[in-house]
Amino acid sequence: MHLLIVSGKGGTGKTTLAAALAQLSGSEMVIDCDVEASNLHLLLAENDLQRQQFSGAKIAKEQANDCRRCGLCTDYCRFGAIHDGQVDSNLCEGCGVCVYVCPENHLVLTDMVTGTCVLSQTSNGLMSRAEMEPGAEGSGKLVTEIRRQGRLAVPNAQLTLLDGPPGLGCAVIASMKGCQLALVVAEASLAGLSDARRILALLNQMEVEALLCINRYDINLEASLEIEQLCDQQQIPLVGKIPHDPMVRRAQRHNQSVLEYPTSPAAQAIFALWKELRSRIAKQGGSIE
Amino acid sequence: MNIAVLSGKGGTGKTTVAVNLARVLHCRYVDSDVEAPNGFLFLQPDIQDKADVSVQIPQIDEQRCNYCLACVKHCQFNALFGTDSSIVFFEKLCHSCGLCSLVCKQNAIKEVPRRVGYVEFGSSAGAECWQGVLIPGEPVTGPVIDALKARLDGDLSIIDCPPGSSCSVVAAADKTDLALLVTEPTPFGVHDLHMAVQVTEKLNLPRAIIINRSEGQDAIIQDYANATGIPIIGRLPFSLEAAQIVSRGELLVDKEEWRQRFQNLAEAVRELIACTS
Repeated sequence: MHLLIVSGKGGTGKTTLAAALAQLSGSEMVIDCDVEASNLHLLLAENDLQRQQFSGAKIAKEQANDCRRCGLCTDYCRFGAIHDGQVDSNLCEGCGVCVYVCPENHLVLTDMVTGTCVLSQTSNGLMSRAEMEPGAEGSGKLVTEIRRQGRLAVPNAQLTLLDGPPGLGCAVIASMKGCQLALVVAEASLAGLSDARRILALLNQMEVEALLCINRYDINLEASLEIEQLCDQQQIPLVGKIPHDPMVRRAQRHNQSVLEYPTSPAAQAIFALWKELRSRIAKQGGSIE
Repeated sequence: MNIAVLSGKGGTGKTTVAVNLARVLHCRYVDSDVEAPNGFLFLQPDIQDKADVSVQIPQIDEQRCNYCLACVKHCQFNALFGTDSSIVFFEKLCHSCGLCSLVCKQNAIKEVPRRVGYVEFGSSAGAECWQGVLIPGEPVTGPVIDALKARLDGDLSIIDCPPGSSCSVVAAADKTDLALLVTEPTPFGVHDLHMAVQVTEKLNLPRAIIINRSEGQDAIIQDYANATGIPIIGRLPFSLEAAQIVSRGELLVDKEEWRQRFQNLAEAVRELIACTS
């Protein structure tokens, strides 16, 4: 069973919730799919077991031989990434058009390291994550790679928990593929509602069953109610409502899981959410201790 | 003059800073977080113009194709798959580079447009508001962001960037004149701030930090700023009331105490602009 935590909007509490659910579920494999700004390891990882570079994109490179400045590469490159035979590494997508049109063999496609895949030990099980190279192409490929490494490290994991990236582009799509269940963390705000709608549309397209919880629901009860109505309309089970709780912020400041404060209202709500979630996972045929 | 607002971490207050700052600076607001665009919820612009964003994709003429598979072999994105009697195209993997049609000796590949998003142009309180929206299911954000940036004309614009540190952020922040890095004083905040800083380094952008949900000293960010030499030009205090205002899609600058804070921030930004230009 692959369970993805996702939100559309950033900063709604995905990672805070993922860390708590990793602890509660005792999942053997946790994957931090937010390869562009990974944070889950700050809460869960104890030590790194393995680090491995990953080449998930190509880039054109100039060769030593002379460029005659014929300008064909510039004319044909659709990304504006080459001028006077010099490649702009920020813009090159590694498509190879310049290599193909160059009459002088001045250019060649080379592998580009787009990130480092890291396997870490956590107190429960293992974590697969990545540190993406800043500004790199192919965050989706990097997500696919750490998911592959997660499967290799723990084949047949009963529960694999995935902390998703914000947005709904390639990294999110790569995170969703093959997941059985997704928990949408919606923030009780107009922006949260708008982004929850968009992520639910994507989950529907990707044929991943969606559940939803509302975080800091009491910040805006009206928006919270609208999100509940959205769930009703789309028949999305609402599995929890987490209140605003200063203890969450305190836990964040100290790099702690909110469950370190088990009597706090947020932790209490997460316990209840987990109970609900566990029965949903069981219905899906997953088995959890 | 184009100012990029970025953060690394999502939900640190990029959009809050960008829309309120744009309002006090009376300048153009450009929402380039095309995966989750929210700025228009706050600015409520009248939309005057809208345009579809399309990418070029190959269309294969099976009458002409001799299944040499040159297109399949050359495609770096595995968007084409072929056998000796058929070619399958995976549109979501295509980067629209045009190499397949270049290599096709049979002239069997024609490029046709495919809609991936749209851009909208409007105005609110006398200032321009632009946004790009990616259609759910589309993986590639670049073309939608580029469609916005192609219209920039030198007038002061605030570009609300996507979170993260990938090529989307590069597309949004590239060739801007100044990066404002919005962060929060938490370990997550500083970790992801560093990711955003590395992107701005690659792009060679002057930059400054704005601390949102500040708690006074903000030692964790202050230490980072001291170590990197990046100036902190403003702090917006942590406030439950502000969170509620923002959650309703209202502008903070409509409240007097916050208006003053954003005016101070705008002043600091104007000074930076004077230094960088």
